Amino acid sequence: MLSFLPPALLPYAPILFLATATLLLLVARVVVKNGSASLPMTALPTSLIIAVTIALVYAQPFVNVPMLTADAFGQTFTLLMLSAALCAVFLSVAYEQAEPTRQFEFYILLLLASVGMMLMLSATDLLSLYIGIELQSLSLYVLAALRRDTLKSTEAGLKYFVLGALSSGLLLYGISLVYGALGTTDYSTMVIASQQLTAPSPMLVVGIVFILCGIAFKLSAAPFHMWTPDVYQGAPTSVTAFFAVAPKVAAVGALLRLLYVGFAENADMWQQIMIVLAALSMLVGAFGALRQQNIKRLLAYSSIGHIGFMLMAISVNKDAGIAAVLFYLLVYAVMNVGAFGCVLSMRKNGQYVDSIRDLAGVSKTNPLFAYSLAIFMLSMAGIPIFAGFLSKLYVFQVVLDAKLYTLAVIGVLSSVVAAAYYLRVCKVMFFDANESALDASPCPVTKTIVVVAAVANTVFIVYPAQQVFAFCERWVSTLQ
Amino acid sequence: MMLIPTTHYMILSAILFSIGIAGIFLNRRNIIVILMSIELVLLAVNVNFVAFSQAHHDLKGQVFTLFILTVAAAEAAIGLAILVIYFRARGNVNSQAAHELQG
Repeated sequence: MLSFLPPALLPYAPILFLATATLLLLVARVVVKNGSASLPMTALPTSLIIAVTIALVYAQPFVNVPMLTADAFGQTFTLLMLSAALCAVFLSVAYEQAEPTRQFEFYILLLLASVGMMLMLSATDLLSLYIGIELQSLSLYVLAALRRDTLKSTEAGLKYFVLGALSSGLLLYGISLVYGALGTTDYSTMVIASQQLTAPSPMLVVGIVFILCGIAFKLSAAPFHMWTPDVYQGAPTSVTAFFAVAPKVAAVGALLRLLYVGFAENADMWQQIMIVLAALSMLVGAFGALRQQNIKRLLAYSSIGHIGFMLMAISVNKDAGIAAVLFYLLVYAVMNVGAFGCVLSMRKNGQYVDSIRDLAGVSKTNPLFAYSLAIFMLSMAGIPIFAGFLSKLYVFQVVLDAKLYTLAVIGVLSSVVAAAYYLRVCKVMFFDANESALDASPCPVTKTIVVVAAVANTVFIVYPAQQVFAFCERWVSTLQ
Repeated sequence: MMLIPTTHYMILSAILFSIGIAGIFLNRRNIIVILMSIELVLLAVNVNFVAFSQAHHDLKGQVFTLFILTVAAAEAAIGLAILVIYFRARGNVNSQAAHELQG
């Protein structure tokens, strides 16, 4: 299928296609001026472009070239990331119809961010990792500030930019120190150079710490999470739905490859940092959300907590940890796509609302919505029979096998605290007095996504859980 | 030619980096100053890369520097653009006034 490409370009084929198609779409949208019909004209080609990229990634042969690699590890993460981006495009349609911003830039920026995330996921060199992270971040800053007429959105964009640029600075300073200590930025030669170090190198340690701080910012892991609630709340909800899943998948994938391949010889240095980040993220995610009144801020703290659980699995430094992370990410993606589908159907009298109080008594007026959101909340809390329970169970199993008992205890306690605020949302929906009903969701696409995600969360334990578990176990060996 | 040891470059770079970080956190007034501090941080990293590139006799560090310069330009452009729309919505660029989103 791709035989016309020179072999050296083969691993780049999906990235090249996505980048070229994005630029062509941009030119087409600038040339064709048709304001009223702008939305389907951009959303449709966008989803087609992502679908074709998914097919290309799926059909991609596995090759290594300098700076980038195409392997099964990157392929799985890229497919997950692109599917999340596709869901975000579908979810945005209803939002755009209700509040027409007439900004086709949303789709262009989303595609450019996806290019950056694909680079991050296939990077085998600190240089290509940096370029990927920057391409992703620069697109995300603008996305956060997309509603440029509102103070909230612009402030979110500004805060995201300032803290994001700071984190890029930390990342780069760390990369420069690692380059100074090892004399290379390529993952495989970094391993060889670390083996040849005769004395422990403080410069390398400081470099690794700085790099991890930079990536923790992008992951929104505590104590580098300050931007997350503000950006989630301030950005347009369709943008937040994109922020919640795809960039997290990309950052976790890039972090896994960096730690398990690039710094494979320095596990004793990064393991402690990951344990601290994991414990803090779980605690911040649990306690920070308790007093939130806004559902988007609540989901922001919830995602900080979930990142804590993934970091906990990463910190065991065993293959089983990687399998648990992939399993957790899959479940996390489905839960969050569904939950944001619910947030995107929260409308009263034609206006979007995002306060938890607006949910009072909706179980009587909008039962389908209430039961779906309740399923996502229970699943995120890790209540048995829902998918979130299995993913947490898997992580705890791996962590206990690695004898990190303190970390596991912190994880269990914080998930108990977190259950309090997830259950509060359910309590408001099912037991509080009804104030006014939510508008019936006009968009069948959103409704379908929400229902499919809710059903998937519920039946997961019966059907694909075993298969997904076996796939994760088998897939671990593909990371080299 | 007298050779300056690599440690001196590292100290210079660490000082510039610290000034940049301090500028971001201690800044009480203006967001433009934050943008300047970010530039300072990136330039500190460039000093490091060029010095290490010379020390290792390896060109990759200098290639990295060129990439950083390019990305820094893009970052400054986007930062200023966001600052302009923020100014239009808010009426000032005071970093203390950015408290619409809290909780």
